[in-house]
Amino acid sequence: MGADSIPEVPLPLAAEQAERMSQRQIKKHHVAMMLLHWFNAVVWLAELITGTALVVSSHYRVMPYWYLHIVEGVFGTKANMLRFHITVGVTWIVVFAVYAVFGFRTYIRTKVLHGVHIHEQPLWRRALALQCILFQSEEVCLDADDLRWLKTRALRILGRSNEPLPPQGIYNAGQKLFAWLVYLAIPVIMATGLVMSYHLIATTVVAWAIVLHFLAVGFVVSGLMIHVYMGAVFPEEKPAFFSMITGMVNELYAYRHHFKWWKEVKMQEREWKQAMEEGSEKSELAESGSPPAPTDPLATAVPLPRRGLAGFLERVFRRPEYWPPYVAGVGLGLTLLATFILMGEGLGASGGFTRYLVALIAWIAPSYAVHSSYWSNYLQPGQSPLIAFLVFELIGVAVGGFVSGWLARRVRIAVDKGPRISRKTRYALALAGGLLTGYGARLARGCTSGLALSGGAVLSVGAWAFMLAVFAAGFIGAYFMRRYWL
Amino acid sequence: MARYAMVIDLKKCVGCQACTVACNSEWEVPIGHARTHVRATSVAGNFPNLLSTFYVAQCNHCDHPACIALCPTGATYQAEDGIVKVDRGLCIGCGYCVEACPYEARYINPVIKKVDKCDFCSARLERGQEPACVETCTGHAKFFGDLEDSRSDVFKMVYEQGAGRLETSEVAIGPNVYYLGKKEHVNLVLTEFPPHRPRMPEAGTVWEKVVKPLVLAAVGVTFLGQAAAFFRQLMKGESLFEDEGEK
Amino acid sequence: MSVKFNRREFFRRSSAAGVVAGAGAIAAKGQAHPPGWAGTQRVEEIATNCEMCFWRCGVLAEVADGKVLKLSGNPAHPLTEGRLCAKGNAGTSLLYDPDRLKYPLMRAGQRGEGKFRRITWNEALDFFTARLKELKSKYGPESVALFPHGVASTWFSTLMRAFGTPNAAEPAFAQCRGPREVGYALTFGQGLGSPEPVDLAESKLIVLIGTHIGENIFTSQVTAFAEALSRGAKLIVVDPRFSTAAAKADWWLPVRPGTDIALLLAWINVLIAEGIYDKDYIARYAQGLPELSSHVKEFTPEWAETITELPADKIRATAHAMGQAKPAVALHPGRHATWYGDDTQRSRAMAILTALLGSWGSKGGIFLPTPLKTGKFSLPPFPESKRGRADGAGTRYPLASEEQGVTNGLVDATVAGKPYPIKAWVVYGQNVLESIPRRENTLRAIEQLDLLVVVDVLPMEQVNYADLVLPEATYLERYDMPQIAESAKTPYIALRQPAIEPLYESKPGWWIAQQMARRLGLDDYFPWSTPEEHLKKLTEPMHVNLGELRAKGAVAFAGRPYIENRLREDGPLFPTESGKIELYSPLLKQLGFDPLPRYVPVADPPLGFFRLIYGRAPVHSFARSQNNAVLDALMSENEAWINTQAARDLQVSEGQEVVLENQDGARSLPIKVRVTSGIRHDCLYMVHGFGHQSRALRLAYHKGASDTNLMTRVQVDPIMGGTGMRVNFVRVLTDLESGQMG
Repeated sequence: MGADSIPEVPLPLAAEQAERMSQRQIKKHHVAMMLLHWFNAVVWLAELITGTALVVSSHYRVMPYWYLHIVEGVFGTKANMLRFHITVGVTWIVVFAVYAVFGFRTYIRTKVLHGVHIHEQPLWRRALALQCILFQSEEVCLDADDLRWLKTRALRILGRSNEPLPPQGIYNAGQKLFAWLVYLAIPVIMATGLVMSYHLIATTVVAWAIVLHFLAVGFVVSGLMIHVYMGAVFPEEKPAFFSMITGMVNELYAYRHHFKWWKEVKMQEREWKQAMEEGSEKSELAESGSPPAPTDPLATAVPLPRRGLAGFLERVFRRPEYWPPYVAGVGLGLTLLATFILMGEGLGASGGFTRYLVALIAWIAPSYAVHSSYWSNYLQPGQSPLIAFLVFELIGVAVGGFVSGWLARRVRIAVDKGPRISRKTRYALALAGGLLTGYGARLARGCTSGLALSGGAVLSVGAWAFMLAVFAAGFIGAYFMRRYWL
Repeated sequence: MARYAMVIDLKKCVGCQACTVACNSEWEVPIGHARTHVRATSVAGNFPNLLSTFYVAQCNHCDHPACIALCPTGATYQAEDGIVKVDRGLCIGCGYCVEACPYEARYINPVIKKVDKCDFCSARLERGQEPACVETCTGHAKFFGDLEDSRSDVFKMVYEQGAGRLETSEVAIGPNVYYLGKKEHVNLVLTEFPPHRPRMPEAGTVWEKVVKPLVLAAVGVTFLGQAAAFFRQLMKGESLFEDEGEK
Repeated sequence: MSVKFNRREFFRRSSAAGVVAGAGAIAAKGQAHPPGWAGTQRVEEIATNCEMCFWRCGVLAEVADGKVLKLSGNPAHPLTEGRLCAKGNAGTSLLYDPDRLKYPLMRAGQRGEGKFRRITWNEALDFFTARLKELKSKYGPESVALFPHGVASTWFSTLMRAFGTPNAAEPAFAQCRGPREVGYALTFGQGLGSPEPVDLAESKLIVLIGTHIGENIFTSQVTAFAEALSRGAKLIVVDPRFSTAAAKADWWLPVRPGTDIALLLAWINVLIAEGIYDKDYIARYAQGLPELSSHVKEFTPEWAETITELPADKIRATAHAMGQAKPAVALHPGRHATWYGDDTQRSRAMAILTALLGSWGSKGGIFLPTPLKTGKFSLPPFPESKRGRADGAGTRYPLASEEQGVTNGLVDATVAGKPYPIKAWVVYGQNVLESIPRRENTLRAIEQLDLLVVVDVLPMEQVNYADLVLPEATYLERYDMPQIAESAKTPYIALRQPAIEPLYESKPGWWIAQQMARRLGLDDYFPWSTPEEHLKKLTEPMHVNLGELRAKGAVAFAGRPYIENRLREDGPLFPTESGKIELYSPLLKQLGFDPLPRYVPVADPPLGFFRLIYGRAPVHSFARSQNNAVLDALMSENEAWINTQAARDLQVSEGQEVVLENQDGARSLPIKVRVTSGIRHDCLYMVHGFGHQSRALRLAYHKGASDTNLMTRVQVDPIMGGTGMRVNFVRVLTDLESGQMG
């Protein structure tokens, strides 16, 4: 099969053709999509573990008592477990809400406003479009092929049919069905969860919310089991599982399992190539200095990285001025362990800065400092607030950082900033970010060092909740702040 | 371990509601609600041979509490000393237990939106104080103590003076608030304020009878289907599946 | 976050997964309640005493951050021993009542309109001073009258007497305990005082005549009452209504209202006729038995049966019970005793009965007060008034207390302008429109005034008529005159001290009085600057550790409650003229009254009318507490108790809203009916204090009905001026528009 001829239906492939296609990677998932998927997976896991352990009543319980005891033991008390369940759930809702709002906006802009003229379509297509708008994506909309696929798939698993599966889009009908289920259940789960967490509206509403929560989760779980099985265990779909990590699938898999999508990719590839050829003169004129970076948004052929240890080391030591992150990570861990053993406390940053500040305040306005309920925590009679491990640790960090940079010849005076913003903007943003970070760190009683690192190391649930929230907030924040860095 | 109980001496109770208010302010019970309160019976009999007394209502910390089984999250539990408590951190305010209680001793606190009820002032007991209602009772009609301590007032009143429980043949879950007094007074209280059968709210019934079996069936069927597929996969070998598309 | 613990701790914890850092902070606080919940933070406990009513139970106020979190009983208090009633427990709702008077106010509209403007304390006191001086020069100092009530009234009484007016009258006398005090004093030489010295705790038989312990909650009295019953004491209750106490009684005597004296005389008759009175006691301590014997000879139980509608055998049986239990018979003298205008005589009959049973000064009867020595500042003598009192105490009402005065006498004098014009009222700690019957008359008196100054905590009815309103701090925010409880079995001194600083711009009564004294140039009468200084002087001869008194709130002394404990220094046992118990009263004879009590029939209700009787509810104090949110939730309105049969005849049903109309056409606000067999067919009962007319009492306004409103008539006791108030009759209107009778 040549690159130019795109078949209408999947045709049998010659062995060398198949081998060639299996070597070629096609981009399937956007990185944001993958992050969201795994975020979702972690949330579901955490929520299922705690959620099932929270139903204790003999009338409604689904898990055995020994399981409840184990999970309760991990959290110390059931109340902590519930707090965890709520915190994770609310984080999940916030992330999804942001995703939904921006995703919906993008969808409307790209597909509805500039794309399909919906009123020209027949009624059933309009209904279909409505479904797509609802789900913000055509990718999960069921069509006639999908229905046939479902039938064939089931018959094949049961060994009653050898008929080939009808061609599928980027997601197969099973995945779409699961998406349907999830799209319908998630708002119910979220709404009922919020009702229960914050005891909203009325007692009767809470009484029913808990039942609906259970029902919706129950249905999703039954679908989730198939989803996990298909993705992680079922051999045919293994590339789909890896695609959620790398974002790529090999072309052969795409051809066999998602033929319609493969076709689309091929068509777009061809269109793009034509456009490139036509516009090459223009682009040569336009470029000045910066190298051309036209990238195919959908499919990119990239050389396979080298496998094995050699490839790993190559990636790790690609930038000789830095240590490999894995090695540095282990080193940091050992440092942390050492501080626990030697100093009796973990690493931290914001706590140290706080002490500098307390010392400053106590020097300038001693009576205010003593009477402030917050600052006075750090003031012991006859002892300077500066006599603390973190204070000296910070000095060490500064010195150590300088030495490290000097050895690696990285020491220079520069303003790290995105290409499109001025220095002033950068300073302002850095100041604002610093204020937020400082405020947030003291609110959380620790920063990424003291709380996430040191707390996480001793398996503090608070620390892990903090980390989860940091990543979630970072994910959301990056979206808004991307223009300042790209 | 102790087995805490209360005895209300109907001969001494004058229905002054001091207990109600002391409890309300001890526990910041919102206005219009109560963890304990006193109600007068109607006046029974014919003039001038009349009968009336008071009913002191509160959680009975029953031997077999109807509320605990219904609490979905386990927020309501019974401590080893027999006190039925509510873990506020776990309560979601669904109100199942409110329906369940035959003595209507529970209410949803509209401020914190969680269930609240008498816990024999556990926090005070820990500080070595008596329950607020007992301490303030103007008629000294309320007694609190350990039924396993034969020297306690409540032991004597229950086992020697015959203080009775508000139980009927229908509802006998072992309440641990006892009523001491003339038989006709105790009977009058029981006639006018009988415990109702433990109730499950509609939502709970639907959950137990419909939703839970449905979910278990759905998850079970899926699981079995997958198990079958997995078994087949193991039997046939993985390669077979990978090539399936080509056959 | 600096995770801070030592090494061993670290290893221990790191092995135990699930140490929850976030929840650690919460768990450390004791995890009993979320923060802000009472029971978690107890910072300071201030011992003081209660003023939700006038029993003054010991209170502990739990204070944190300048806020009173909770009140509870003070276990160190000798009388109440840590018990507190519903009202006492609800004291914080008075303290934090949003309707409280917050600033000094000057009237800005017509009287009764309730329009005021806020002024400063300086303006208020200057205005007050200027008006007093003006009135003094124009009409003489007697033209200013004081209507005090409660403990802090001492300061105002001192101020007014120093100013030169003898006119002061509190309802505690002529609307409450006056007849009792006079009746017992005529018999035993001394009255009873408050707390009532009834030895319920030791009694074998308790007799309540109209007293409704259980609905009237004086904490320690209820405790003693209940303990006695629990111990096996018998109980006789005389009450036309099946009260809480009646429900506990061995004998309930639903007496025909107004015939109590007949019952008492019959009892006395049986005791003497059957010789079961305490003969030794009478022989030793009393005089006048022969006159009494011949007087009561004809008043047999059979005679009384026709009058009281109580079976003669029941009267006899109860008399026998008294005879058996003597002297440990606690015949409660009652408290609110102004019923039918013959009240001093009824109290006399009760006192005589008490004497015959040998109960006065005996265990289980009425115990004796123990005098306590107190220190006093030497004040200059008060100016003598040449014109004398205007209220008739000591003249028109020969045996009225000059200390407490006759409120209705003072009101009448103000209306009439005789014997001289009264142009200013200073009202402190009472609600003249609710506590004094014949409200229209009181309003007429107010019309005559040039100046009405009201010192109050809440915007009660009278505030609307005031020219100047001075907001007083509540009992939880002020010092008051300490209570010297001589009539308690274990006498004690109890302190009222502030738990917190006064809220808003309210000021304690002592401060207001002291400031006025300075402005009027009467500093000499207030020779102390702080209440602490006053307390120090007062307690000088008592050998009290002031630190202990402050910490515990009260300090007790040894009591000498019974005759056998008396010391010579306690004075004569019976400080009457004869030095003996006067069963026959030569003084009454001399003044032209019956020397022995006699039953005189009182008017019966006309056809279709009920006798209006009234009383108290356990969760309210007179008309003071209806705006208290906690108590309002327990009881927000009163009900009209109507007998089941009578209700059937009237065709009114339980919970139906009706209007009551009295014999003079005065109508009540709508009130709900309680149909009960627990009341006689000829009377209608309601709890006093409801039906507030002051809009500024946002919670209490127009809830329930006011009994005072229906008291357009009184029967004045000629002996001491008390207003008998159970002489009003009401009928029930069901159709509120047309005034149709039910």
